[in-house]
Amino acid sequence: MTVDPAKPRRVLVVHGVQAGSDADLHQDRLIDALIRSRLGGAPLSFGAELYRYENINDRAQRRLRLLMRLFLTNIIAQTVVDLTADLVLDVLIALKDGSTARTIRQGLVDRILEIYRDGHPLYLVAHSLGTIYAFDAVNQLIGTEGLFDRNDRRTWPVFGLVTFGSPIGLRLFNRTRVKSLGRDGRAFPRTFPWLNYWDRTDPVVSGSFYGKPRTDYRIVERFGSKTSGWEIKDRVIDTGKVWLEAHCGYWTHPGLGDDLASVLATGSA
Amino acid sequence: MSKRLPCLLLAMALSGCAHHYLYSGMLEAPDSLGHLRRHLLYWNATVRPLWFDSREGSVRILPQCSLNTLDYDEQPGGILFRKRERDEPVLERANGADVCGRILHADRIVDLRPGRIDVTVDCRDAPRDAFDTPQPYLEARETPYQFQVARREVKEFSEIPTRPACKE
Repeated sequence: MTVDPAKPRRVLVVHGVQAGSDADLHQDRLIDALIRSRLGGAPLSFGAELYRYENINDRAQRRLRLLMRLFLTNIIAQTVVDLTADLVLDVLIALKDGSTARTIRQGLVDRILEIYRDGHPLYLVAHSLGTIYAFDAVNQLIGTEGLFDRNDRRTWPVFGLVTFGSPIGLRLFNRTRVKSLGRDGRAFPRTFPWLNYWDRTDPVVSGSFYGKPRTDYRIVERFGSKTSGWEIKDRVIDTGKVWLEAHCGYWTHPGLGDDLASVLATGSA
Repeated sequence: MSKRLPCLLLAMALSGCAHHYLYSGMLEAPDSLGHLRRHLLYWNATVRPLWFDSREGSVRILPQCSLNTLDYDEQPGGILFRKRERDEPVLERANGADVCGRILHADRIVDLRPGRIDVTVDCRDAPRDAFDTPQPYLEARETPYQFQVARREVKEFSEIPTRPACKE
C-alpha cells in the first residue's frame, strides 16, 4: 500500500463552520475552478473533492436547537436563532473535542486512508474550523505505524496541508506544536509542507470581533522546528474585503490559486 | 430608517468604497533549463478611504510553462524568496542561507512603487524523487532582473492576470 507517482493528485477540501446541510456544500468546486483558472496552459492532472461533516454536527445539535425553538413563536426569530445556534454550536463542538469532534476527525482520517489505498498523492486544503480537524488528522496519521517514513513519500497519506482563515493561532484552540516526522541522518530527508494563509482583517484569524488587523507575520511557523520535518510558512493575502467578507473571500483569490497550483506541482511550500 | 442609516453607511465604508489595485510587470528571460520564457510579476493592494488599507503579503513571479510560483514574502528582514525544499542554491551568496532571492529597493511591499523593480534569483528548481517533475523558474544570476511594473485599478482581484500562456 503505497502512493503511485503516476496517479493524478487529489485535493481533499475540508470546509469550516456552516449553516445548512451537507447537500448545500460544494467548496471543492470552488477550489477546483480556482486552481484550473491559474494554470495558464501548463499541465497538471488533479481532482478535488469535499469532506462533508455538517450533518454530523447537526445531528449532535438537534435536541438543543429544537428546545430553543420552543421558546420562540415568531418565525423570523426562530430562523435567526437557529442559524446562529447552528454556527456557534459547530465551534463549540470542535472546542469541546468530545465524541462528535472525534467522529468528524475519524471520518476525515478514514477518507484520507481510502485515497491513500487508491494510491493518489493527496493534498489537504482546509478553511476556518476545518483547519483544526485537518491539522489534527495529519498529526494523528504521522503517529501511525508504517506511515510518513521521512525518506519515502510513497508512505505519505498526505503530501501537504494548505489552510486559510484558520483560528488555529487562537489560544482557545490550544494547538501549539506539530508532531515531528522524526530525525534522519540522510542527506535529503523530505519535509512536509504546510502553508497557512490569512487576511489581516479576518476576525476568525485575529480573534478581534471588530476586525482589528493583525500586523505580525507569523501564526503557525512557530508550531515547528528545524528538525520537525515540517516546512511551515505563513502567508498574508489581501482578499480586497474586510471582516467576515474577508473570511469568506479566500476561495476565489488568484494568489492563493497560484500557490495551490505550485504546491500540487512541486510538493513544496 | 434612522436606525438603519448608520448600518448602511458602515457597510458602504467597509466594502463599497474600496479601490483595488494590481501591480504587474513582465519580462522575457531564460529559465534554469535554458528555455527562453516570459515571467509575470504581480501583487495586489486595497485602498479604503474610511478604513485601513491592505496589501498582499507576497510579490509573486509566475513562469511560463511551469507551475512553480515564486513567492517573495514580506518578512522582518525584507521581501524575500524563502528557500523551499526543492530550491538548490546556485550562487555562493545563497549557500547556507534560507533565502533564494529578494526584492531590492524596499523592505516592505507598501513601499514598492510602479516603475523598475529589481529582483534577485539565487537558486534553481531541483526535483528530488519520482513524484517531482521539473518546474523551472528564472535562471539564477549575479545581477538582478529588472521588471517594469505598472499599476492599474481593477474592479475585483479576479482580474489578476494568469501566468503567461504555455503553447507547447
